[in-house]
Amino acid sequence: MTFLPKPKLHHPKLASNALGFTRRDYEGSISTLCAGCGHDSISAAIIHACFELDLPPHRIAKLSGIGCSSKTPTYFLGNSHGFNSVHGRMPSVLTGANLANRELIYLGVSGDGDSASIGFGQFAHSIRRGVNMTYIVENNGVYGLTKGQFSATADKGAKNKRGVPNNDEPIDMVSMALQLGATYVGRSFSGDKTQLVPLIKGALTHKGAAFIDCISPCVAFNNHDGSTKSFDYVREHNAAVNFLDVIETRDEITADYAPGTVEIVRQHDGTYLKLRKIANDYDATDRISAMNYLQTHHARGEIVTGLLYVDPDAEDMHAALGTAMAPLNGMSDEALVPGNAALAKLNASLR
Amino acid sequence: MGLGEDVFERDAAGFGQGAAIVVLGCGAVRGDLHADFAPGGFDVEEAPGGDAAFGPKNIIWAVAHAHQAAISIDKFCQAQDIADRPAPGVTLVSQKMGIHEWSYDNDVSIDLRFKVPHREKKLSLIDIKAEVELGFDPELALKEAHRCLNCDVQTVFAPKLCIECDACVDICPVDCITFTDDGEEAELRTRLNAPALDMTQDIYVSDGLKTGRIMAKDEDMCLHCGLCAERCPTGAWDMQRFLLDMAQVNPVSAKLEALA
Ligand SMILES: Cc1ncc(C[n+]2csc(CCOP(=O)(O)OP(=O)(O)O)c2C)c(N)n1
Ligand code: SF4
Ligand code: SF4
Ligand code: SF4
Ligand SMILES: [Mg+2]
Repeated sequence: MTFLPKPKLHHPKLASNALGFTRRDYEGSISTLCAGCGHDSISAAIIHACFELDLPPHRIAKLSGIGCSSKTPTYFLGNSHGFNSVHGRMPSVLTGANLANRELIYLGVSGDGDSASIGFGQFAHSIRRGVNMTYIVENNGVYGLTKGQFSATADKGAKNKRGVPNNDEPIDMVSMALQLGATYVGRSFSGDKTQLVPLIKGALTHKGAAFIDCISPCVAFNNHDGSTKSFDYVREHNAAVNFLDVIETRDEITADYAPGTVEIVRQHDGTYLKLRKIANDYDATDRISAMNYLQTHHARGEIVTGLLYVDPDAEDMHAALGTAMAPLNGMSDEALVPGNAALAKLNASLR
Repeated sequence: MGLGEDVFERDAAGFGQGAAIVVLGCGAVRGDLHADFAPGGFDVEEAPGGDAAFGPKNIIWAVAHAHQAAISIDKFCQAQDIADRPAPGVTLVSQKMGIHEWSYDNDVSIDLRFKVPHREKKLSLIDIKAEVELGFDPELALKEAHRCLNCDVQTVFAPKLCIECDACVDICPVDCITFTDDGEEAELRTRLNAPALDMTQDIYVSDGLKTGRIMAKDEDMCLHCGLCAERCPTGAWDMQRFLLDMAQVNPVSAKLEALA
């Protein structure tokens, strides 16, 4: 952390987006995390993504649980809505907020402790319900805030700072999300913004449950030799299957690539995902083959990153429940409380 | 040999005198400062007056040139090659006092320059001898001093310590740090987080990183705020004060040398 706020001065040529905001307008207060924490890079990536998508800050709601990762929403999007919930309860609070107001853009920020231990059930149900949200797990393999105990995503055999190995099997959040029906699944690394920023942009424009597992080294407790979540280890074992560009109009797709190397996916909202393939045999629209690929490559010790799965025609929870199109705060009192006559009619219909 | 010293003292005492004496050494500072020196001696007659060799300049230049002239005269008197100039002293010292503390005021001030208070126009118009500029009071002077750009404090990068975590890139208020693939300078400049297209301003490029990438920093934009060094987990960035000590003829050490 630093004691001084980041100076308001910026580069004289700093660009503005369609709303007239600069990237700096999407920042929050200065981070109090450890210097060099991967989580801060993810915050910076979120700032880049929201700026590039021209998102109005007041239409975004950031929700989080407890942990260093869950503290980060204070450090980005200072003009957006925020709710720092109880440990592991972010997905439920987000689901509730989304039910009440479907018009906001929901960004859930969590940690591996917050989502893979205490909040595991909440995570699972928000994904399987198809809540329209971007759910980011800032995955460092430890409980950073409580001083570095192994979390449930720590690999078996990985060593802690004092050299003691972890004996438990890890939970792979990406595999879980795929199995639970997430309609947009990605994995990335805090140290690779070229991959991470477009992945977040794609998730924000996706309609449905978008999940990103972002490996984010904890410099204080999990960045040593023997760790499988350190900067060095992740760089050495990173096996990217593709790189993504999010394109807003069809015209921007230029056909300057060799056949078979690029895949274009059109999303619900009209945006296009342009996937530059690295692993040619990888098909990001096939859930089952994605799951197989992940298991095979995980067994080889590789960390598979990129956009791992997308269903461009996904529907969200509101479609499944047939809820009203308007947010609750936009409805009149009569619509919200239709009175005894309406209740009697409903009861009669159920008899 | 006390001529340089002499010049300095008199110069400090008053412009006219200082300038006149600088003329003595002007042959030595003309052209590229010393090479134009006539082998026969100092041609005082021929020398341009005023601020010696380079025409009207301020007192700082006059004194600096006098020091150069003094070195030339000293060398000449000792039958040494005057083209062989003594190197300036250079020091770089870390300003770190604590994790978030520097020996200099690193907070960036966005205040515009404070105006020196003026005497009321009515009064200054009546009395021609009255000073118009009243000067800063201590409080305003301190504020003005805090606007210092700290241009003597340099960001010094140690690639061996860097773990490429991007913390410095993310915090830099003016986007002047980039980690990227190496390339020809002109092309590299276009690929920086904020392209550095002014070729007259140097960029700081360092290799030696684990991933084989390079660190490039646009020195032109840097605010010397030290936030990169505060956010760096390994101390790969450090804020170091740069001191340039121009060589001067020192009569005392010269005398001591003679005695030894
Ligand atoms: C109900 C409850 N149980 C336990 C804790 C203690 N606690 C605080 S943060 C944390 C783990 C956070 O780990 P993670 O989500 O991975 O965040 P990180 O700090 O690693 O980013 C725990 C167990 C708590 N705050 N509340
Ligand atoms: S303890 Fe770890 S996770 Fe928490 S701020 Fe420090 S480096 Fe980041
Ligand atoms: S001193 Fe400040 S402006 Fe200069 S590189 Fe570091 S963070 Fe950027
Ligand atoms: S903050 Fe330090 S360690 Fe991290 S990238 Fe910058 S110089 Fe390297
Ligand atoms: Mg964690």
